[in-house]
Amino acid sequence: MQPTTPHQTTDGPRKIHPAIRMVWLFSNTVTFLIIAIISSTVEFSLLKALHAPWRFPIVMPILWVGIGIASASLLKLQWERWQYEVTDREVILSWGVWTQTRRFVPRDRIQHVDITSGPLARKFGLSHVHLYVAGAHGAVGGIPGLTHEEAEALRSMLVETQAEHV
Amino acid sequence: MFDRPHRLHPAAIVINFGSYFVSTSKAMATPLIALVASNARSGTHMLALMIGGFLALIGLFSLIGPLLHYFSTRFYIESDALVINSGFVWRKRRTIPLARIQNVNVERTIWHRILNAASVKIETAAGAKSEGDLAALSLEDANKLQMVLLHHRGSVEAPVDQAKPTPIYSLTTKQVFLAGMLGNRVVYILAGIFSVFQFDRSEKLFRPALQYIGHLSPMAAILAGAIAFFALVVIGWLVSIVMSATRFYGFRIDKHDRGLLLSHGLITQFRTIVPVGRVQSVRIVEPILFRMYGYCEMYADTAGTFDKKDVGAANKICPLLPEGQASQIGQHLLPGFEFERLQWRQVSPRTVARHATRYFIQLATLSAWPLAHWLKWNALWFVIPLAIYCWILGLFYFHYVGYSFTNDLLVARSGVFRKQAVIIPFDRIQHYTINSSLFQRWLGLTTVSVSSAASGGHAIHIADLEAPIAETLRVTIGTAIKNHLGSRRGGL
Repeated sequence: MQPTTPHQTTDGPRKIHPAIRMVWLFSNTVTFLIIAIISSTVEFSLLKALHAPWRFPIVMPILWVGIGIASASLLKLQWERWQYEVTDREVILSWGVWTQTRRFVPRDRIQHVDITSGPLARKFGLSHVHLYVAGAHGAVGGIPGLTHEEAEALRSMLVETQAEHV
Repeated sequence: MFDRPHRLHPAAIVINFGSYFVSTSKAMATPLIALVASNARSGTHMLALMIGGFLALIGLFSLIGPLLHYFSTRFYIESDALVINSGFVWRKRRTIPLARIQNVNVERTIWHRILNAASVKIETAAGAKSEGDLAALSLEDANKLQMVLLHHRGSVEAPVDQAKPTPIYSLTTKQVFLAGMLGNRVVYILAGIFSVFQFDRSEKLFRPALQYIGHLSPMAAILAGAIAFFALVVIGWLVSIVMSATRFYGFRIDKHDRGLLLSHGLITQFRTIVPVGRVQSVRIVEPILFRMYGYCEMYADTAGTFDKKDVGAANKICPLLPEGQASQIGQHLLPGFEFERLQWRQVSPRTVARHATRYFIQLATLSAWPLAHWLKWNALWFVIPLAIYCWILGLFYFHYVGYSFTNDLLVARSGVFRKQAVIIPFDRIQHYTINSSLFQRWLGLTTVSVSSAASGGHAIHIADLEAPIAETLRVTIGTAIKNHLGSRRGGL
């Protein structure tokens, strides 16, 4: 066992910023709109090819608007479920509405930390913190909806743990 | 030894030309076949001209690259790092810290052997391909470089240890053929046939085939289909035997002071050292035919090797291993590995219902359209045998799936037809996850997943544990990781 020094922690689970709901709402709306337009075009082409008595797509727009409304109504729950905690040994991320996930990343396995902020998140003063470990394709965990100060503080907290070898 | 810039062996021009030519020709083979088939009535001279022109063009392009590569590539070891300078127009300088090297493979194709050369492939934990690929060095230089790089203490003057390796395991020629006979490459052949049809835009091959089948009586069509299927299986089987014989001929494992030395290959010879201190996980795989004959395959994944397609079976420790000898080989890879003595724990019996439902939905979705098309409403009769079949599959799944742990290792096994056990030492775990879908929560079940640095495709997933048991396992994993801090062997 190697000697350990106490690390900075978050002193319990923390929630992400509530403004993230607006970011999710905007991005979900844009995504569902794009899917609705593409799938409606496909439906239109199919109706035309089948010589249907009507040409106006109905199923896909209703389906995707329905999914969009259902998704928007779950945003509050999605936000409530998102939690992160930095303990002395691990970073614990919890999220998910349908599939609920808790991910545990030992602090000394973290190879590097990214802070990203898209145009929409910047508009609301938010950043995302992504954690990387060895051998994984991409980030193993991304904490959305942190203020720039929170993101910087979290980054400093995590990089103080010197990443050891794999 | 390698402190000054070294050129590649001139054989690199021939080797690279060959590999460029073969890979380009492979990529162009199916459009070429389709093109030839589509213009079959254009006359022999025209066809010969087309094929000749095609090959000449591929040959010309394949020669420019290797020449530029040979004249522009230099490599040397500088301050604990391997530096490879390459590129003629776009200059590239790649620096690979020696401490980050996971594996170094020496490979000899038939061309290498004719030209007395060998290629050296260097892997780190990153990327899907070897990070350093030296196409040809003299055999002596290749072996020396492998030793120096694996020494990874940074000393350029590191003594090259020539201690005689101790044999651990070897395959007889009969066993090599058996390894091939227990596999089947029919899927590769089917993929090749479909890719030809895909490129056959003018339908010169596809339409006549369909018309021919259309003219047959139903019984003759079924018979023709059965004969074609049987022929494909036999061809796939023969291909598998040939591939196994060429790849694993003379297979042997030796204990080397740097790790395990794997030597094999009939045409292309592989000489791979697996650094045991860097093994992230070990997998024991039992496809159905292997299991029937009491054999298994063993893989040892180091960081980044799980998806490296350009390295010949680098993580396959043994293509054919009697089940009883798994622990004997495993102990050389992971200290304390005693597979036969593991106390297996089962997951919740409710997993039968969940998996049976999943199999039923998958199979029903796949078969619904053809069955409904042929049998109309009578297709619904198939629901009953399908449900029974899926329930039996679920029972098989429950019977085999399980997990176990010792003070140092976490092990999980899964699979119905192709069974697999994954072993990850606690000191190699990178992260772990507990999740539960809506359906699982209704049943009070949870999945625990554990990943190492080599787990891109082979993480441990222990599905359908009772929620309190999953929580206990989570605490056990967390505590074990904490207890193993600082005990990691090898490092990077």
